[in-house]
Amino acid sequence: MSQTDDNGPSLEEKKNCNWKDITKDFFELCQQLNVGELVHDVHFGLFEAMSAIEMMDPKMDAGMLCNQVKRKVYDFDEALKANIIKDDNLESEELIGIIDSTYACVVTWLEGHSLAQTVFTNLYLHNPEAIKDKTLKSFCTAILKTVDLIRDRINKASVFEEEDFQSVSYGFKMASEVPSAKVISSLREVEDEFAKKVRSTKDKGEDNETRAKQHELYSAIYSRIKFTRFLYATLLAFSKDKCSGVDDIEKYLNGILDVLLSMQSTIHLGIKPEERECGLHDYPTIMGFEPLVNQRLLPSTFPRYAKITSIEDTMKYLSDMCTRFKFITGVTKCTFLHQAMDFFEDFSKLSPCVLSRSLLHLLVFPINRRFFGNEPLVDVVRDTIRNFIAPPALVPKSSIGSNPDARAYCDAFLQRAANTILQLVNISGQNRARQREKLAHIFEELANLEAEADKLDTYLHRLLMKNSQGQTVVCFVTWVLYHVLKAMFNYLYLGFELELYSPQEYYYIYWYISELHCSWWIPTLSRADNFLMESEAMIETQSGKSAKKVRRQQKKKGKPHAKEVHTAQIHQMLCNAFLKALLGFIRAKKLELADGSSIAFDSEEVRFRRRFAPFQVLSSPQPMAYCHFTDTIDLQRYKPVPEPEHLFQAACKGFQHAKALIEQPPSNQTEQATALLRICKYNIVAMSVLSTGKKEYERPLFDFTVHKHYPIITLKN
Amino acid sequence: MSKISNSVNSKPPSGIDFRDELRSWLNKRMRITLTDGRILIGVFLCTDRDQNIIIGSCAEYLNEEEERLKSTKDDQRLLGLAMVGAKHMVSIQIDSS
Repeated sequence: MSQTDDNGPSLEEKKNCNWKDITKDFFELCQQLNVGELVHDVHFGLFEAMSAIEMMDPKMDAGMLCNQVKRKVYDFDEALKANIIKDDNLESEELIGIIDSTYACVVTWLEGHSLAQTVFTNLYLHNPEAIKDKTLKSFCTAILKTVDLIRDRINKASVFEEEDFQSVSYGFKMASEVPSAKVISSLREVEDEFAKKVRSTKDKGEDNETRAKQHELYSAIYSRIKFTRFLYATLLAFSKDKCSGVDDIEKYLNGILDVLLSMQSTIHLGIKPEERECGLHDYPTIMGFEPLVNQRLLPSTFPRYAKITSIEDTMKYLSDMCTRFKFITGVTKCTFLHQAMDFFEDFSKLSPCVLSRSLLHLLVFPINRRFFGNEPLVDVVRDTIRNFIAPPALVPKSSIGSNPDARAYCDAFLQRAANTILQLVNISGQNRARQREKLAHIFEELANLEAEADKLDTYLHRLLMKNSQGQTVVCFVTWVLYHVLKAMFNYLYLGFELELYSPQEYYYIYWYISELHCSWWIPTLSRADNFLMESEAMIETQSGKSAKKVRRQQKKKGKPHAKEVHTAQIHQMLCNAFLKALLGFIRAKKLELADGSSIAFDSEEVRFRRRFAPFQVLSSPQPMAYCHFTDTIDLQRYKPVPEPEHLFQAACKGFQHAKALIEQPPSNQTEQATALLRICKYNIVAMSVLSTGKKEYERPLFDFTVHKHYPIITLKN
Repeated sequence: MSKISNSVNSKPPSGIDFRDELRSWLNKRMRITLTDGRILIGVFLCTDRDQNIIIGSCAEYLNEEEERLKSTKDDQRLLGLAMVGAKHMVSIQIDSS
């Protein structure tokens, strides 16, 4: 046990190692130390020592014997030599099994596990060049390229956090030397080969069982190879500049869903893993997979072990993912920024996977941060504000639009606004829980932007006054406010979705949302409407039309933001109805409130303040105080004080109003509208039962399954 | 493998400067064999009365064969800072060159 390294000329220090055993000396010397005394260098202290991993601790020490298994773990070359895996003449069943298991690994990876524990447990992927079987070789190369492309896309979009995605590649080779065109063409070759085989084994009237079996197997492989090609081609098309691949994407995706169906129906054909004795990180696999092959590549303290998704769930995941891909190509129909941002939000409500989130993000804002890769974001923001509220400063041919100072000022503001917009877009690309976390921090940025907008508006207003046009211009502030309020609504509603609120809190959350709607959101939208119509009228009259005619025209067209106002009214109505219903329950003592008397920091006021704390930084909307809330809900103001029945009756009316509003145009038959309608209908029934005052029940239950933000109220007997 | 191999160069620790002797090993390369056969090679940084040892820039080898194969190729598994308790050690060696 002395000289171990005499053949290491590459590392100089190793060469000179001259090991001297000091075991006994060391023991004896150490024992003379005082208790608690450390022998260490001046640069090394207890603090540094804290970060050391403890050897032989099963949780920290991934290389420990109990973490290893008794069977030998082979890498690709060893397994090949030991005849454990085949690299040529694979049976069809083996191919199907390997392909399906590989996809299961890919899906597990996409769900946030490390590549080493998922995709690269497939030994074939360690060296596809060495595989002789043509089908397997093209498949493995394609998978490597696909994984590499996915990694690249997700990294570039950067709308993920550590719980979404592991981007470390552990230095695995991703077949970067193979051009993508070659991947596609070799898959195609294999595909054609199997297509021929499928045709040749087609039933020709004679009753031949083996032939039919062969046919089934060949078709199963055919569809798997085809899927692989389509998936890779789709991802390639997504990475094309300026959304030029969208037509191709749609074409591929139409094919892909059919192929997936036939894959789903042939899962049973693949080989199945044999049962075997398993350790902590081990599980039975089919030929070519070794869960422990990369165990030692993992950091010494790797937190979790990956449970590979079942093949049935994998297929489901893949088909859902492709459906999502199809959905996100719809974003190319959005011409305006606000439309695109709404699209992001709607998509995010489906809690999509990190890959589709990233692809959507890159489609709209590729690396160059231009809108759909084309227009600089500043220009897009300018157009957006113009379309939203038509500020005189941005209207061409207006008096201040041509003032160079004003223009420079505006441009500076737009530049800033563009940055904030990018941040907001990035937030809506994150997973739902992170969105709420990040939204809480964005209010500071928005508050700054608000201040900037205010300065700009004041400056422009002064200019305008000089030019003798007497209107107050708060256009930029209004536009910023629009985004502030959207962020606030998102923040509050996400709390319902993430189940953060307790039923005792619902009533002040709904109250807050309702207040925001009626005192801020609807006024903001109508102000924008007025500005838009005024500016339009001005342009039209300038071009020679009579003012009356213009007004009639506008009336016919309706207000530009009418739809949003309508939706806002529905939400406000709903929130109010819920507030009344909840007050009813509280008054009837069926919903107990947090009692602040026992614990000083658990009073409702403290909770209220904590809930709305992120809004404190905003100057408008001014944060609403707890006393404001208690004043508005104070029932003692009324004489006689309303009984619970009266409150339920009022809530019932509220839901009826909301229902009537939803049924009115311009709200169309969206999923959202139908869900809200259902909630209204159920709650109307519950409220009218309660308003009779005869119903016996223990407490109300709130069911958020139909809509994530509004519950159906049921009664527990 | 014997629990504690005989030291090659044993001399009784002199009472006064035993700390200096321990210190003289600081920042030298140390090779620790664990009870499960693994070998850790790293820089000796710290020890205490209970003979817990902390070594830095530590590389891990499953056995001597792997050590011979991999230490020259630079693809050993790096653990970084590691602490080993006395009961898990079979032998300690220090680079005396």
